[in-house]
Amino acid sequence: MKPRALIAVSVVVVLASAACTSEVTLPDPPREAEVTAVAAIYDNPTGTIDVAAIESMLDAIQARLDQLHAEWLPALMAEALMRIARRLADANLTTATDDGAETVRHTVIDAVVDLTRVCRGWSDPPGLPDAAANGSMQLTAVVENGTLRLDIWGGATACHSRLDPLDNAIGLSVTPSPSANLSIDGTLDVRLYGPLPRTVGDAKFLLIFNGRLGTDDRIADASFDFRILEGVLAFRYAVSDGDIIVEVGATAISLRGSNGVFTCDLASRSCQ
Amino acid sequence: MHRASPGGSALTLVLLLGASGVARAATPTDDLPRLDERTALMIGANRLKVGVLSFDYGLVERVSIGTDPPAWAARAFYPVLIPNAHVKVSLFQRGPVAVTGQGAGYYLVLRQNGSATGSLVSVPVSLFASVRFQPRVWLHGEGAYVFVRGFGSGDLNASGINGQVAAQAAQGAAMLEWRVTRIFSLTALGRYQFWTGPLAFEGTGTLDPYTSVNVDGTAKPRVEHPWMAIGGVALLWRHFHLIAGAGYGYYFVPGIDIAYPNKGFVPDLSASFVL
Repeated sequence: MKPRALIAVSVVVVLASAACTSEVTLPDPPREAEVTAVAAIYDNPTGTIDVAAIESMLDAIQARLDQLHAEWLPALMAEALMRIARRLADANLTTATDDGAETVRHTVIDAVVDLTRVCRGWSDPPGLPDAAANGSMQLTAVVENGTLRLDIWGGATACHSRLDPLDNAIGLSVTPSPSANLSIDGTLDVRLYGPLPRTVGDAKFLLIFNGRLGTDDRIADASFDFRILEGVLAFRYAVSDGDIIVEVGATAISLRGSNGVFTCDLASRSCQ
Repeated sequence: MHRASPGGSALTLVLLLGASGVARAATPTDDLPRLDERTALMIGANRLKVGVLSFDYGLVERVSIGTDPPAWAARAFYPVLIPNAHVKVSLFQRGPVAVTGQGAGYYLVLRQNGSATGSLVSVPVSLFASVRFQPRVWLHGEGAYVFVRGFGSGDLNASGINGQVAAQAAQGAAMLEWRVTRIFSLTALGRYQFWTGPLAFEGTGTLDPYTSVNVDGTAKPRVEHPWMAIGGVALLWRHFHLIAGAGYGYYFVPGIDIAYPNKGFVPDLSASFVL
């Protein structure tokens, strides 16, 4: 064979070899085991509800609920998840169709999706947001074989946001929402219980937060988790032998423990 | 993991035959019309071919250039614009053996969809070898490598053909041609994609003034090893060429060499005026 033909063959071989290295590396969630363990408790509470002391427990539960910042944090997370959903839909990265069904007529995609959201800030002046002053939130999601993994993780860095009363979109009336300047700084781990939400009300996820959280005049270390499922906020409450799950409704709460479920009316402080 | 392909084996056979000179004395050259599509044979100097699948012009005997009309026309059916061009160069021509290289470039502007936008560059490179080992029988082999680079992160699904994105691939093909009469040939064609690589892409989209999302990923076709087998005829009049056939497998889009991901009936039709 002439040298020119050999050169052409060599070029093809070199190009083929170079192409073998272009796979994207899909990262694993950094705290997957912890998220799995916490999620299991939500499904099967480990703690026992002390029926005799259940009514006296309500005050402590109310205090715990206040620490969750349930009037704004779920909505903030849901909005971030909605934006990931929008990006995935724009790029058509997953095999799920609009109605959630899978389609086989799709390119198989592996992808790492990194969302950066500059926080609104406490004053939210007109113009482009100031990332340095407002802080930001980062979330990482992974698409594997065209399917979004259920774990999403990231963090908030000096994130300042303004809560207005109308922002209370998930509807937790047990914690009325005044206007407030909010601050969040820490890690965020999310486990999805369904597709990414298209509206805040569609959100179904477990959130685990570790860091500092509060308002402009009261910031404290915080470590907690809550779950939003079918529009109901649930959180863990520690008892002597484990955790029970508190589910927050509009006028009542439900307590789920290893020994049963109790529904308590917040106004009358009675449980049954 | 990389299995040997029928096309690749045929190509190897062709090259060995050519290199050994076994077929060299088989047949002298003559003026039979040349089947220049998917073979190492050239269109000829100063000849223009206006065809359904390809427009080509022979700059000299050993070099021709052209473009694929179907890729341009795809805009009518898919949300993607594909400017393209190719060049074919004869690398070796002696007696019954011909070896030709062909390089092509396709630029795919992907559909912009909200925050997603992007483009693809696809460069199929083919090495053809044709051996006329009997006076009326040719064996044409092809080894092809499709190099693809993505820019941005547009709607990759829409840029492919129902999920068969233009990912990197290596293919082999072989075609047996039996010239029954001066203008009429029977053909048997096989094509196999023995290696499929991922298409890497990365892009950042801005959803609103507060939110940006970066996507870093790879896309793979749904069918990793598509193949097709076609039986057909070629009618090569002096100024009009007609190639028609039918077969089974996955339809490879001519030129860009992307396989349609549904297995079934595979048509083969090419008509061109040669001036």
